[in-house]
Amino acid sequence: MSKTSAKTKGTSKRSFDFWVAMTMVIIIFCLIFIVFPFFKLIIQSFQNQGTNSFTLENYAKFFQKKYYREALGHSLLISLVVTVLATALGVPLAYIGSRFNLYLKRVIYVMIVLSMLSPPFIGAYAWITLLGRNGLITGWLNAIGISIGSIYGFKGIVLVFTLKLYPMVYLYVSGALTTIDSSLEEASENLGVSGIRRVMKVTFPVIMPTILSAALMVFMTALADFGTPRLIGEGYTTLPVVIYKEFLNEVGTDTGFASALSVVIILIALVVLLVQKRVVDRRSYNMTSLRPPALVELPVPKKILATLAVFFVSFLSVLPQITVTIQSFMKTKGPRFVAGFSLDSYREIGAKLSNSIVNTFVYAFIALIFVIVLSLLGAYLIVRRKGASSDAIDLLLMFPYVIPGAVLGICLTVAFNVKPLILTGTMWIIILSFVIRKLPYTMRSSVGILYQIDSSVEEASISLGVPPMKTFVKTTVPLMMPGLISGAVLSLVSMMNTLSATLILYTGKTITMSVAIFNCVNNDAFGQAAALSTILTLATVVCLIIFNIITKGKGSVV
Amino acid sequence: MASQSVKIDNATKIYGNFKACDQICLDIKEGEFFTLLGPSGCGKTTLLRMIAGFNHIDEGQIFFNDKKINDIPAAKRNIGMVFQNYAIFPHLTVEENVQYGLKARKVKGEELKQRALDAMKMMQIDGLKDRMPSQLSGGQQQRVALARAIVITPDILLMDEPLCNLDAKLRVAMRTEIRKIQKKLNITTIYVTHDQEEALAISDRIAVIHDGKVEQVGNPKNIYVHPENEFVANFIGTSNFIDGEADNGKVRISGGKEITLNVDPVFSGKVKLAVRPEYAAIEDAGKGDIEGTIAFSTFLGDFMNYEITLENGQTIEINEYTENILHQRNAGDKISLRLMYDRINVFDAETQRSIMK
Repeated sequence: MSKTSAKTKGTSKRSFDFWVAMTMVIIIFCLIFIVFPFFKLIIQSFQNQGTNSFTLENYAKFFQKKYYREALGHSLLISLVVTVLATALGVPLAYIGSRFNLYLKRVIYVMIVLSMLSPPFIGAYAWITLLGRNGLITGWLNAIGISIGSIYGFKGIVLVFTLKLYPMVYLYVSGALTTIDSSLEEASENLGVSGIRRVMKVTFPVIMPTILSAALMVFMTALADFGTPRLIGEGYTTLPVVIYKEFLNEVGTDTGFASALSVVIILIALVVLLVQKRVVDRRSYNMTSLRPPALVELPVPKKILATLAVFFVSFLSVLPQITVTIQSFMKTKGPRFVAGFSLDSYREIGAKLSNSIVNTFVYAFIALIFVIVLSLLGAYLIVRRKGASSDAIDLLLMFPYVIPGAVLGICLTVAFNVKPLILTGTMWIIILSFVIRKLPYTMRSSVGILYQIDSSVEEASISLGVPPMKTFVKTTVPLMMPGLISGAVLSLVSMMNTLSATLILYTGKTITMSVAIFNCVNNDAFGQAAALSTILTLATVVCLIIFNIITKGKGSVV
Repeated sequence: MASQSVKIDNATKIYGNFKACDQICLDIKEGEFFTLLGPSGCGKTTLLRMIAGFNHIDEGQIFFNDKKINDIPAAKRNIGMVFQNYAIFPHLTVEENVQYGLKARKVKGEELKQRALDAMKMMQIDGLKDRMPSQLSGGQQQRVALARAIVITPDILLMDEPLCNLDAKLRVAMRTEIRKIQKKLNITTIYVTHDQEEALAISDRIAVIHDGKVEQVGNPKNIYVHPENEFVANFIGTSNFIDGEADNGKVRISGGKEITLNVDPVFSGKVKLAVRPEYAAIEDAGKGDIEGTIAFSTFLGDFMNYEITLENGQTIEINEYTENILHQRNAGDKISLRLMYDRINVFDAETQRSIMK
């Protein structure tokens, strides 16, 4: 075999050199920016903070102290409950929304997408302003003598996560439901299994892999999110909150212990990912969707009822954004909103926080360029140059998928706060965190796009006299671009909205919008937080409009 | 410029332990329409891709005229290639597709336009030049692929099952057109197909390939009438194989008469008689060379197809032209077959090679 491949080098020498160089570049990138930080994290977790000697005390501390074990328990319980609830909510709604012709379809869709793309902690803080101690609705209810109890703690986290994360399930499952081959369902009806039994026996089992991947996304997000439990959890601490506290402790950072906690959470994510993959692999079916199912027109009363059901839930999930948008135009007095409208909140951020807006856009755009270039090259290596090194790239680039944002922040800090490469405090470390975070997703979709493009198109170009490297630029890249750009717009949105890693990596100069919002909320500057959130939402909406134009309305946001 | 000849000398392609092409030797003359014919997985496409430069030549050599091309990269071989799925660039118009290879050759301005237009005219797609590929039918895409391949005046034209995605009628019309254009341009063409009828219709010569080896090379008629071995007899057209024994130029049909065929008189041993369905006449019982019973009959328009169980237990298929039918035969009827001696091939049952003189 080695003899064969050695000879292959001779056939197309120029292309060989280029792609080998690219393989090296990408592998080196992965080694420096993904593998090295992660190894540093592991090493730190086994090091005594003061002496740097080998120790197991960091892990011992975690398992000995009830406080930390509880945080782990909380994290697992929350993630599990939220996954179950979001799936239980998302799947039926997706069925109704994708199979029946509802009123206000576009509006419902926009609400769902918008709520999915916003940072979760904005939901947390918006719900606090509505249902919290000084909340708007709490006030109304108190006035008429009703007490709803506390929204803080377990209940609040679950509420915010469920409303924030079921849209993911909704969008994934709708996608699968609209592309399923309707003859499968017809066959079932023909065999006498119809209605709800048909849905349970044929439709849902067939799309089970999709449901499971959506559930995995929900679990991972709930497990990794830091902002929501931090704001609305109060005494109910989860693992990411503990990690963050330990790492940025005002009394003195315990990097070793924070690293050990990070390793624990990565291991949990990894185990969940592997279990899910095993389950999905055993059930994935190859389907040829010959005829997608038609939309069913319901009789008017049922149609109204179905619309109301879906509308109500999607309205609830977008309610935080509506709330903050309204609040951004309200007068404030300290942390409280008072009657009357003004643009004061916008004026206040104009003075202090406008650099966060500029930073957010600049960092996200620079990161996006890196993500696109790396995805193009990486996808080509993985799809067209199959081999050991491309397998390695595939694996390395998927790794960040299981690293929670806060952990990524810690990894990058411990790796790049010493010579030879000091990045901490610069914008590059934030851009790097954006790139690493989004690369797995964009890479996946690029690989998918490239698999759709028959390699004979490239061979046609080569045989017409265009060398392989130039063929890649002239043929492969233009063909991949439309799909890649639409995915990239969504990456841009999620980079602008990301909080966890940036919160660890930013300095005063490199603050981003979501961090600024978070800080405002922490300092009870709700007016400014609302104004910034509104701007962020607006930017998200603009990106979505661009996405829609690029994909001519046919693109899927998941 | 005149087209080039292709010499394939012991070309071998190895995948692990498997030889996809095993020491293939072929001499293809300039201007010849040469077809690589064989079942799927036989190595014909592998060989074509070795000629094109997409598969490395693991052993052996390939020459265009006298020039060895083993180490010339695909982009520099000046080959026109038509792909099975056409491989039209979906992001370019028809005209841009046709101009692609010319631009790579730095052809510019008026010449670029004119040459592309000539090629499109020849393929009758000049009216579609501003269309995008997604607006074209399969047949039109096929024409674009061909125009794109010939516009660069390639030394060799390679075609990989170019018609297999077209419907039956269009396939027949297109193959005639390809043949005419090939003759007009006098361009050496290597054509891959698994469809033996297509191969017979279109080729100057055919190489039948099986398990990575060349079974027989010859013109269509020669291959059809004088297959060199059992595989070719079976793959080209349909053949029934009837057991028999040969000795001293005579062949005794198992369960039937002894007949005299044009076989090698030195050969002695078990043989198989390859009888094509139209090369035997059905007679009343007792009048032919071997007795049998009609098992099943199917009316197919031009002819009747009979499934016949022979006296020796073998089952064969015989066709009888509708216009020649004297008696309608029904299932269960006892009949006799008269073989057309001059059209029967006899193979050594052991080596499967022809023992015809």
